Amino acid sequence: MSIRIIGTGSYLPERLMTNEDFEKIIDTSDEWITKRTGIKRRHYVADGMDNCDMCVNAADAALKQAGLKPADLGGIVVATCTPEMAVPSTASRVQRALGIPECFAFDVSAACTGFMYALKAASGLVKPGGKPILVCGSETLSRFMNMDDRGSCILFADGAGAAIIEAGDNLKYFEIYSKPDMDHTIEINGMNTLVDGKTVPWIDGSQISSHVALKGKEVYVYSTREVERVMNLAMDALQLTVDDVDWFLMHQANVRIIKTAAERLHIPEEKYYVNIDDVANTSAASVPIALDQMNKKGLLKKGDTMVIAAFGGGLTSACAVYEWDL
Amino acid sequence: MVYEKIVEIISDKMDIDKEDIAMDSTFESLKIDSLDMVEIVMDIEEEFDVSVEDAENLKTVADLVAFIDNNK
Repeated sequence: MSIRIIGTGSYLPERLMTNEDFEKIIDTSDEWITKRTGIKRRHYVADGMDNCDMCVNAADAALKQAGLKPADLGGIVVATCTPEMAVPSTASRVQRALGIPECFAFDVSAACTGFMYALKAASGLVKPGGKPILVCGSETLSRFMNMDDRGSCILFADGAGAAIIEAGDNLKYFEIYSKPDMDHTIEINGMNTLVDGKTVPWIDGSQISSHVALKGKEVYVYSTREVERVMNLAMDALQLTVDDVDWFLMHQANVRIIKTAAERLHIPEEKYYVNIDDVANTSAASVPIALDQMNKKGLLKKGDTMVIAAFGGGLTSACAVYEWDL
Repeated sequence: MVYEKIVEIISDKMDIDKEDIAMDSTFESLKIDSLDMVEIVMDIEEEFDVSVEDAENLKTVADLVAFIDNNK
């Protein structure tokens, strides 16, 4: 089912972690981080705040733009790879926090592509004339950082983004992918984790590592080629050229991936959005945060054609072509 | 030895005849782009147990040989 986005929202925690802050705790420098990643600072959740709180904040903003009350929602889908609880799902916790007596609610896990997978799932659940669906992407990656790994701990951060969708004609193309051959290059252990082939319950962070483990160079090469590939497939399918597209929104993983992919596709700088300097890699929250910022900054005009692409652990990827109409 | 191994890695990765790679070849002339370069560097790092932080500063095969000689 094609969809229409009727509201967006996002939330970034107030606590900032700058490159200078990292200089004090690990062997790194602002120059090194900026040059390799484009990141200057990250937003981290304060103690006591979790994905549910951030989703609710993002959802409030999206509901406001859509002119809806929580009870108007027919369902909630949350994409996250850092949920506080396996059961109930983050989506069910958001439902409770929003005070919705009945709707459907479930989580989706597809790492940095998570929001796109959630949006794809939700677009199969909207009905013409039916209730709108809230789709969130949210991560608390600051709680999963290995501060001894200077290559990865600087990359990730926290935040949430939301979009509310209903049936509509604005989604022109949407494909999701997963290829397992590079599955070992991005890993976060789950509640039960494999150690030397044995299943071990993860009790607390001091016993078993629950850190993000990332093979940066492999992921960089793969991701850049993959984002180029999926955007090419989307444009070819609709017979679009770069000139026909008003905005390219790529997952904010690393400014080098975005810039290299853009160069290879001959996308001019003014056609792609970058917020990684302030936001870092917020995984499943990355795309909806960027979308909300573009929306609220007034960058998106009614009728604009957007190519939205994401890539991440799995390794997963996705690309959508969407005609903005707010 | 370092040179021969580099030629082998580039030849394998890029499917270029070893004879077409020379000490003064630029990566550009070999049609090696920045992504190919990162892939080549990953193999070089493993082979020579070095860490290459700024692959973009390496423009020729000679640059790469010199880098490894100076850092291994």
